[in-house]
Amino acid sequence: MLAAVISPVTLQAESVVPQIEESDVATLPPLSPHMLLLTGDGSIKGTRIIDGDSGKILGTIHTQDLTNVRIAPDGAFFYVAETIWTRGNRGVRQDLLTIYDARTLKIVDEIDLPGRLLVGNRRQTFEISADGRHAFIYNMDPASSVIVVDLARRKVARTIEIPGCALVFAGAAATISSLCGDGTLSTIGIDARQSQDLTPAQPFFSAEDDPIFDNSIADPKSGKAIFLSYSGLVYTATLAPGQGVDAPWSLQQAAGMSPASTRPLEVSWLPGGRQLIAYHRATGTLYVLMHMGEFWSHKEDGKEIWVVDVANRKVLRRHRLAEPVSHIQVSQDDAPLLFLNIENKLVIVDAKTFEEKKSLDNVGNGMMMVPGE
Amino acid sequence: MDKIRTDALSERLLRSLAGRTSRRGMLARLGAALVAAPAFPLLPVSRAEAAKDRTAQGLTDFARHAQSKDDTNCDYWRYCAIDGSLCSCCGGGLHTCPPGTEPSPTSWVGTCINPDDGVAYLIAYRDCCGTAMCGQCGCDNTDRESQIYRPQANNDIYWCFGTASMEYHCSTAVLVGVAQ
Repeated sequence: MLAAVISPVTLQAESVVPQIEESDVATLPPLSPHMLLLTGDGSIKGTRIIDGDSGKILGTIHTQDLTNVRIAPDGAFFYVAETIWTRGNRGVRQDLLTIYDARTLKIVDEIDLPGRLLVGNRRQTFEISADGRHAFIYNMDPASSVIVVDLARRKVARTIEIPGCALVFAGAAATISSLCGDGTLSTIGIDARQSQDLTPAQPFFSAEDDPIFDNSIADPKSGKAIFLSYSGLVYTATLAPGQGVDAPWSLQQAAGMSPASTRPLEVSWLPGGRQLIAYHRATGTLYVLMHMGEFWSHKEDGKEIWVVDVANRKVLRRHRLAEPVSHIQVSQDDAPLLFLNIENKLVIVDAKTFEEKKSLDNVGNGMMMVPGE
Repeated sequence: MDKIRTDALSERLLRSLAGRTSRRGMLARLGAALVAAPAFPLLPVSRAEAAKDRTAQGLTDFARHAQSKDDTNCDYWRYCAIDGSLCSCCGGGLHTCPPGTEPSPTSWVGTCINPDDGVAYLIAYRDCCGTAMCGQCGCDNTDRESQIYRPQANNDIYWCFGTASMEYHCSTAVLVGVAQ
């Protein structure tokens, strides 16, 4: 029937196909500064690898909800901390650190983990040491611990109990640091036979009155950390034995305003969102999603991006957003791109001019990672 | 805050995995957590100090607009720190899990003010676990909601510890006492 309606012209066009094609599989280009890893969420699964310059998807890593992804410091691997069950929605729980080749996306190895916390939109529940030798997975079941994985031997090295604390920031000098419910910072050596808190146990924030966002930032290489509180207080610290936390300063004051109020009925510009800050290390520039609201509105999406010179405690620029944004990330090169995400839509803008370069819909709305962060 | 945005509902609402955790192992770990108390208080008493000022000036944005008539809406007074699907929209109720699910013995907590009597009550947000995510009536309220280093005050964590399946279905808001 169909053959009867195909014209001779069509047949002639098909007959000039030069060769028979065979299926093959692409490989990823070497990791470059403008590549982005964007994790999905409940509605869109998988972690997309996106070229920030072309705005095109280069590949996808299989990830479930509540998965953490990290890039190996040398760019050779992608590390995925994930949880699956033998019968899909039931059966035996399996917590894994899965290692993917960063060019082929083939699984290189799987390391069984004794657990991990199931929580969404958290950056510091999984971290890699600056030398790439260790992975750290935060676990709460519901006691708190950090699982240390030896990535060279590809096995769990030890579990460090961190009672009353949570999260894992990789610090300098083979240490990890965690934030604690009593307002302190805990720093522990990863190789010590007995865990010992190496930081002065002095509370520096209130977990009840002005909590520090879990999605604060630390550089595993230098141990320099930036902790941001709900009210917009910035605490800088060096994560290393014996180091304390610097006195905080107010983001709003750095923009020439009064410090934000924590009282009801008083409206201030406040930080908020999910992945609400991004840090460009080479220039010491912090990008913060801000909204106008009352205290306890800390999950509200950003309506402005504040560009902050951390060393000089100065807000350099306030950029009004056309659409609210829940997640922000910045590439680490000298021509940086900002990656903005809301409701599965990714917008890529020039971090210096805020000119929109590319946008993509339906790509997921989870945490974003870039090389060299 | 947009409470009904479907694509960007909180991460808790997007939970869809299920699983099994060892109850014995969980109890052992619960014991370890108790040792860590009071840094990790498992009972909601630590929140009783919150929100003592009951005047209009002391009420949060949520409390000023809360209602006591409809427990299928995000602005129902007990939901001041809830995050997820309301079990009242899923075949359950304020303290009732829908059929085929199991209430978690653990919870995060909130201190919410009843607009009818102006009294602050302790609310335990217990997840109902064990079947596919309900997906109805997604709310994400954040009164006095802290981060995961104060887990009992964090509403992003999967609170299906100690249940046969860790699959999140919906959240209840159980009244457990009067805040002092």
